[in-house]
Amino acid sequence: MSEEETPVIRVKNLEKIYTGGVHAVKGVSFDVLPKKVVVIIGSSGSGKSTVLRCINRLIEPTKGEIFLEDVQINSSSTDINEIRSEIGMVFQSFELFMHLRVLDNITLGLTKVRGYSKEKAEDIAKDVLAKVDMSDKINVYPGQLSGGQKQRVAIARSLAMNPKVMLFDEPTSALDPELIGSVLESIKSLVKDGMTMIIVTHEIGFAKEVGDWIIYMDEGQVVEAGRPEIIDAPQTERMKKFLGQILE
Amino acid sequence: MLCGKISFKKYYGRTFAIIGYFLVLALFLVFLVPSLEAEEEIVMGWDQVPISTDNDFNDVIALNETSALVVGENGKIYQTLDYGANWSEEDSGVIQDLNAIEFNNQVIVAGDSGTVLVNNGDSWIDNSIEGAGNLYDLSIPYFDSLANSVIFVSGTGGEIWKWNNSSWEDLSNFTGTTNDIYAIDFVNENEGFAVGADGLIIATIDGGKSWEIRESPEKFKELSFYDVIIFGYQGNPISALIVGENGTIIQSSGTGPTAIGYIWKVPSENSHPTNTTSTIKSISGSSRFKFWIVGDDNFVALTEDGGNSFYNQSQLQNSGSDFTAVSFWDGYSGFAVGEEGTVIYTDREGQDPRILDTAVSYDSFWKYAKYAFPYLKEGMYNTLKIIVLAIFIGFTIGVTLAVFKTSQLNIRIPLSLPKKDGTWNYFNINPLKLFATIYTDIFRNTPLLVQFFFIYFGLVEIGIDLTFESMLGPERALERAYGSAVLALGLNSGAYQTEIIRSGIQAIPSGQMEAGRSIGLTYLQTMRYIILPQAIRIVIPPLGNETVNLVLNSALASVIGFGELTRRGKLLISLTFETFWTWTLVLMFYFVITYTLSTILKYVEKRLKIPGLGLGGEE
Repeated sequence: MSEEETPVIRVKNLEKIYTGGVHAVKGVSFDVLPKKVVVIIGSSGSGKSTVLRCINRLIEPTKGEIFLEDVQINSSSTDINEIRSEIGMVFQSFELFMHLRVLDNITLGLTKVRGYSKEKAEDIAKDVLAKVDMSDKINVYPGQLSGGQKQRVAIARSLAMNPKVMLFDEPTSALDPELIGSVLESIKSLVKDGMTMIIVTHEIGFAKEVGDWIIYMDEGQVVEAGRPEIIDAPQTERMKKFLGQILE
Repeated sequence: MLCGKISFKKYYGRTFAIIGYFLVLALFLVFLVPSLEAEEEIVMGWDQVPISTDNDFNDVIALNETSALVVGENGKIYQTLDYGANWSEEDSGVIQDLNAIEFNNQVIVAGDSGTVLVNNGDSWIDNSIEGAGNLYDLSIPYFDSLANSVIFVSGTGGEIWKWNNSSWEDLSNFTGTTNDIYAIDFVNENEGFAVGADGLIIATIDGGKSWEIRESPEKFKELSFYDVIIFGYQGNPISALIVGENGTIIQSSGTGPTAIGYIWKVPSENSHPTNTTSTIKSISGSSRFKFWIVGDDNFVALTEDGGNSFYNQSQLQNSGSDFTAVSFWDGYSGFAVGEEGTVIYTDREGQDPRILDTAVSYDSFWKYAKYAFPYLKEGMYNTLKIIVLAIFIGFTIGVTLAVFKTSQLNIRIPLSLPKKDGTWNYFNINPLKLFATIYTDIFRNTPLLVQFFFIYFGLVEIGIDLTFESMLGPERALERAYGSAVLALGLNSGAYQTEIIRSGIQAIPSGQMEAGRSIGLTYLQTMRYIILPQAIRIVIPPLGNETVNLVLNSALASVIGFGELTRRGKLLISLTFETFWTWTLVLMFYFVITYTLSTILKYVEKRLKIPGLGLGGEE
């Protein structure tokens, strides 16, 4: 990682204590440089999803600072809706809008948030749908799609907003094994196009393949971080144990 | 093949739904009809009196309890001196149709082609008007002798003539209208009204030298008026009534310094008190409170409360004949005449003493249903008038408060100064949610009936008048009942719909809100474009139930005096005592409303159905 470039996302000493006292994130810091892919791995309950959700403030951070380029995200003077439209997010359970056709799922944000005309929004939507290979399903409802197709539409929906960074929250965890491949293909093609991303995943092989920087989290802290090679040579016992369990 | 099967099945199912609908209705009727035939025979309040003629009669005048004169087609004049038992034909000396007869010291008759005949005790003197058209009515405000009298006649094309100083004076140019003038009445030599085709009402206060057009109420503008009567006290007009097409009766009373004839309105809290669509041709009575009206299709009715409600006195044996005129000597004895020589007479107010309070009884369900139908139909319209608005109000409240109830707004009220470690003790409060909760708790935990009472009787006392000014009909109280019924039902239904829609919102996975927010939509935008469209689709079935409940609850509006279906049923029973059949009909009306409503809702649900969203069968 070269030092001259300004990071797209900067997380500094992030902490989150939920109402009820659960200390989910205990001082996490990392940077995401332009056109790089950061992969966060770790067991369930390690706080990786919380970190991701803090970045677009779906969860309000308790302490610490998060920046999108030079704008502090978790400050009361920022227009959070504007920030969110710059940060794409893909969910584990897809969260497509069930009452809207595929095309309308994608144009909704463009027309209501960006204020584009219907024609312009539809042109963009058709473009991004072609990128994830879903052009033939423009007029069907999400309920008529398979899980893999839904997730690809969800990726297209985030992509349509032309975000500065995309967050993936376990994008393949809810999918049947035979459907995972197509979703990973779509994400890989985004990587080739130079999209900046943070991916939370359990797919270790995939993490190694696309990741420029790997972060291993446990109990709300960064245990190990480094280039993808650390997956093959984990330094800590905890990561060794985790990888052992996953790869079994 | 498969396609064919499916569409066949669909077709089959729909046919069954329709058949089922009619089957239920048919069963309902079949079960109830047979026992209807054995009703007690009708006792007449009116006697049919014989005259051997087929000529149509156009007017009648009762001269005293026993005698009357009748005029009709082809110059016919008949007189009876003995309750109509025997009739003698008079020699009128003309062959024109005679249209009107009036009495003031002498009897005067008016007819076609300017015919005017004056009776001098022995014979009829021709006093016709040269150049006049057909004359439809006359009024004699003053008569001493023919040479010293004032007579007004009205006729085709806006004609009015005045007899004064032994000559006819043409006032037609002053009437300002070319409509046919069917009736004219003067209360003294100066003040009078004339009415006619297309809602014409004109008035004079200077003996016909000038006439002023008086506005008839909007909904009667297209209708023709056939008779006008002015009730006076010591020569001063105190009230006037007009009758006409479509069962119309309107009244004008002087209120304080305002002269009569400016404001016309239906003299009842019921917008159509005559309960008929027949044309009413004539009006006569003993006072402004007790009078009879007659008209087409065998229509005869009595009111004893100034037109607020009518007792139907239609005679079944006259079925089909049209009455043209009625004349009462006093409050008990009178004659009515009609087409083809029909004359009826009563000396007992048109009511049989044995069944004085029952105006009519019916020997078959169908006859009764035919009588009751228009009355209940109007009640149904009134019910629809409340429920449409109430559903709208309820749904608006429901959506708004459901959004309030699920809102995340949090206002923190510090309970004390900060603790030593700098943290505060907060009391969290969501005012929107609190408001919605209080609202729904109040409306769901108190009886709807009491809510009606509270809104109708309670609010007005603290100065909240729910009268709809724009829809202000003749009776303020009536319209206040309407406003109160709409509000009570709307507010109550709003509370239940809030809970239903809230449950729908909560059934939508929280991820949908996150997804909406993550693409940059605001909370309210996400609610509007993502959460609510899905939530409402899910709750269409329970919302439908609630709507049906609302229709059924609307029957409670009868207790605050709004003339909806149930109250119409009650009023009908007070007229006819047909308890069983009336409530049967009312039930059927309700069934039709709710069944239609739920069919519509099923269709809406099917139309809005989206694959993969919500429960519900396939298709």
